[in-house]
Amino acid sequence: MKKFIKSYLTAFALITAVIMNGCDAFENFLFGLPISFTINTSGSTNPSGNETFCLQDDETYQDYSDKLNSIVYVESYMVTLDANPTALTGNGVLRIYAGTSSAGTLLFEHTANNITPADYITPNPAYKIELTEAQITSINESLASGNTCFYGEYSVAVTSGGGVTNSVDVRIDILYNIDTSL
Amino acid sequence: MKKCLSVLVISLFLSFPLFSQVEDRFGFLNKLEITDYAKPFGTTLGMAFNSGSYHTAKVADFFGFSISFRGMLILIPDDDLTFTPNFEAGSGYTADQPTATIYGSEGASYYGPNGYIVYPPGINKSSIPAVLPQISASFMGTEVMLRYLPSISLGDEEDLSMFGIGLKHSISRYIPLSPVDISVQFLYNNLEITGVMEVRAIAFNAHASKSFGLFTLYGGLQYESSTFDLEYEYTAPGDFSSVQPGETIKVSIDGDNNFRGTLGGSLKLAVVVINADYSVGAQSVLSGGLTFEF
Repeated sequence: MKKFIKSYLTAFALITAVIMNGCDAFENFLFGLPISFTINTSGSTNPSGNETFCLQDDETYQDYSDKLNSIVYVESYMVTLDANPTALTGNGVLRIYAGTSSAGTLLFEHTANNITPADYITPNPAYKIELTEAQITSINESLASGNTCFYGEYSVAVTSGGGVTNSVDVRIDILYNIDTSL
Repeated sequence: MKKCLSVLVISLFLSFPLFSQVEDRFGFLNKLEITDYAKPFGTTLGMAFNSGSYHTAKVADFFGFSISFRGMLILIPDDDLTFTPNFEAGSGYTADQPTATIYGSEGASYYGPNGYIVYPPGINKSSIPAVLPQISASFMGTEVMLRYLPSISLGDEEDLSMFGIGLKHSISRYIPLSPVDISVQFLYNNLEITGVMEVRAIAFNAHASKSFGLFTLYGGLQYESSTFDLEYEYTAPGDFSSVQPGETIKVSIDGDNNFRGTLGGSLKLAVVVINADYSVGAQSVLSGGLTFEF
């Protein structure tokens, strides 16, 4: 009986192996990786601030970093967490550098003229950071070269509505596409 | 290692090579999101377990015994490739595009007040193969079919086991001069990997067959259901739901299985029977079998 069961299972395993159309052991797994970081700005006239973020601080990135084939930028938004005074209006400038300081390569500079940051506080829609193809290429080349840290700088050149002290806190939400091999 | 082994065993005995590819994907989704994403997978498991249970309605009047291998190809309909998430009203999120189910292609990302909600991609498959072994014994117009795999340890806490039983009874034996053989059958199948998943599939069918020499034409109607219990670790990237990454999620998903119709033919050559049939149901199934009847 034992011999019969053994032969039966062996035959079944062989048939199964033939029928199976490959295990896809190293299948590509492509998914969106969102990264968020906050920049707190303050100043007596023009508020400014900076923040560094590294991909390896993200748990999901850590999980897949050793299986990573590529990572590319998709899109990004900026949402205002707090603006004081709320009437503050000016030209907002966001700069992103490769590395952990402004000594790194400037990947892009995005200016939003005559913007009122308080207009982008939830539940209002966030501000979409529209980048040019050249700017996106610059980010992707930096990622492809192995850079995983970025230094963000945000400032508002106040044109109206400013107070004695001004502050704007923003959250930058960036979506990357990550291609891994499982 | 545990994962590799479980994948190997599942692949060998059930030919669900896709399972190795889905575990990472489930982790992206919380309890509310997983149902629409994984439901087609539960349906497929139900379709597989509820397939290949007959190739004739004839049941031996005295005694019969058979062993068989059932191979099948479950065809995934387009409707099962994508779904549109249902975000709560007032959440600030809009599902402006569909995203992949487990069988689809690209996962979508939705932006809203709390950042991105990211859905995983699917495995991009339009058909799933599966194989099941079974043994049947019949006596006096009643047949018992068994599908069984002894408990196999896959590691410290995981064991794989499978059990399926079918009870079939000839109805035509009570109908003198019936031009066709008619039987009814009840099926129950269970597959469990402790701490990972459990599938339960139930079916009830009535089928008929007519022999023309060596060839038999058969067909049937079946009502069926399946339940897919899943347990996985939540790892969602950048998510902000109330579930914390690393938390274990347990969810029970009902497959879309309900009714199916089957039509097929078999050829008997001495003790060997070769059959093929096609079933139309929640997902269509092309099934074939090799049976040794004694």
